[in-house]
Amino acid sequence: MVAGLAAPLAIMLLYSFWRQDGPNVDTTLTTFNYEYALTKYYPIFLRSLWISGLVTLATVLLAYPIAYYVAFHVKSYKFVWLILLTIPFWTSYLLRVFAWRIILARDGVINGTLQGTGLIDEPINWLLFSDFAIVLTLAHAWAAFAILPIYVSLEKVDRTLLEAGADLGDGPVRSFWRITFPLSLPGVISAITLVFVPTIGDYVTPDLVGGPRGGMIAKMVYNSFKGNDWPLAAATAILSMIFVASIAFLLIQLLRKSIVDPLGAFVIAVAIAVSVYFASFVLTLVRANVPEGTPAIAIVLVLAILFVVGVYYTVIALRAALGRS
Amino acid sequence: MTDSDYIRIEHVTKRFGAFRAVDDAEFAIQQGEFFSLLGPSGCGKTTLLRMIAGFEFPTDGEIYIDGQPVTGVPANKRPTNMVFQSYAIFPHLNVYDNIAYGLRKLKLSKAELDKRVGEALEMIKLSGFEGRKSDQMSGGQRQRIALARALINRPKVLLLDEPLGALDKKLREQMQFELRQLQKTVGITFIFVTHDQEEALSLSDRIAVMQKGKVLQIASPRELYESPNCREVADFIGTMNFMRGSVKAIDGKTAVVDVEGLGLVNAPLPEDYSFAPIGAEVLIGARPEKLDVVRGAPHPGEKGVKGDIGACAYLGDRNHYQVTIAGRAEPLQVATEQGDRSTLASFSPGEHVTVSWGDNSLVLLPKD
Repeated sequence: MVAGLAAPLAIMLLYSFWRQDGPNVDTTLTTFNYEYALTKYYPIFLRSLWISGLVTLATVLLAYPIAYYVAFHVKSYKFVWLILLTIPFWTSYLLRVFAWRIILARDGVINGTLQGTGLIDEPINWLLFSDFAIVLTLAHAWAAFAILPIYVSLEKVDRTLLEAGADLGDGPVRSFWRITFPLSLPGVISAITLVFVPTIGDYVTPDLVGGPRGGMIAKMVYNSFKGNDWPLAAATAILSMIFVASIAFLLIQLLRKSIVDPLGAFVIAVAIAVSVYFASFVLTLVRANVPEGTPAIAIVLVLAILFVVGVYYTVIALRAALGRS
Repeated sequence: MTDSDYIRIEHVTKRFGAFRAVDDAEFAIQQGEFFSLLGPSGCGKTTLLRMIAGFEFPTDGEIYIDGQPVTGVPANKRPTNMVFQSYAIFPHLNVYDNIAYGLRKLKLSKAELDKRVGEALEMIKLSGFEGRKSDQMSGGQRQRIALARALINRPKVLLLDEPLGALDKKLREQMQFELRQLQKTVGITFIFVTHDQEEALSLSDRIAVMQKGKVLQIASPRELYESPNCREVADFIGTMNFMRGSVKAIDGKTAVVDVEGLGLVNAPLPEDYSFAPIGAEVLIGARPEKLDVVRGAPHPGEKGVKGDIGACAYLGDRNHYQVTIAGRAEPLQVATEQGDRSTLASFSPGEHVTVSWGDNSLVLLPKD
């Protein structure tokens, strides 16, 4: 079984170091595909990150109140509530995406209703074939993956701690931010991992409801295959895998840390987000100043080091600002 | 009710559906008092405490703290703080932040906060542990952190919900002592809930004994033990032999009672003896250690009854005997103290003995 899983991966790895030469494949080992994918597709990698970041944010923000309601306010039949929340998963993913197309289209349900009631004169164009549509469709599709871990972590919060908070003078809002929220962070980080990692590589939704330039990284892999450039497709896929794996690794580290130190984990999460954001500026800067012919691998290495250093110092700065050693 | 009453519980009833968890509780607690609510589990003592804390609200009745009615006031607006049975230490905060929790809303300066937390840590002898997480602390340490976290807010009343229940025996005894010292030092009124009668007796100024939602008796530990007002209290606190009898005569401050198996005895009259007119059925109670077992005649000036030793138990500092008496179904429980080792008076099963008692050993109780 291990061989069955490893063999395709090995073949893909091998392909990624070959090079497409017209109809033939040149089997001389080269890093050309990696350099090409990194330089050419870097904006799309960043875009994928940005879109799935938005999806994750939207999903978690929408899931948290639902999970909170079920954990704290539903007294009986919690089980039924949880089953009902997974109902979107009872239909095919593709059908759900098409359903959103019907709802969001130029002559779709929303525009039709708004025009029918006279609230708008012209249909709203950005509903479908936009980043908005991608975020909405994916957030709906992955909602249950965010609700369940958050629900579990909220359910585990010892209710006596909330009484202790009230006893020590906290009203409901203060005790939420001081007790419930920090203690639910492990669930929030699980939710982030479960939504973020798979949506980065999603192909169907961006293709069906995204705009003309709505493609994410999986679209590039598909295009290369269609364009009969298997080595480039393989290299792009492997880069995407490394990308997702390192993010997943970071998130799992955060999860482990958040169990003992929720605030510290939160600080690190903010630091990573800030560093990713600035990485794009740094990259533009580097690309403008590096002489032609410098191997892309070298640029990537320098960027990786800069990124790690960036995260490290942002954490230190944030901790100092929050008065923690 | 008088003006000096610091906390007043006025006809407080708490119903859960048809079940009365607390049934018409009515008493007052003085400022600086160490007051215990004692009773078996399910007797309503914790519900009563939670109503004083503001986690539950009475179905009927009023609660006053320092003259202010607080009946409908939520917990976060009451001048009370609580030490929870599970301690409820915040797992995501270190010792410092746990203790400082209630002070944060006062927006004190960092120096003032450090000073007060430092004092609190000194009080519980945990200075230097500021940065520790709660899961690195032992049960006894967590209990002290819970105490410091509550006391740092300088509450008018400190509520303690079986705080020593989770500790082992040795540690519990040490903490009892420390708790009593602490209460004397800070002078704050303590309301202490426990099902452990020894704990209540050794700690409290006064104790309210509760059963099935009702407050049965409120008295000092000595009074509760020596003069219980009913069978339930006598039974719950310590051990007591109960004997049925009927009142034959009232003679000044004593009642002459004809007791099954013992004949005529003299028992001191309690303050309220309206339940015992001449001819009434009553109970006579006698603590095992107030009785003695002797060979031959009873001690001079005491009465006695002949019997046979049944089971014996050696308990180190005392011996326990069950003595069977003619005309009584249940044997009498007698506990004799161990003196020095030369006077190891012991009896063996089957031996004919006399159970000896003085008039003041007996308690007159209403029949259930």
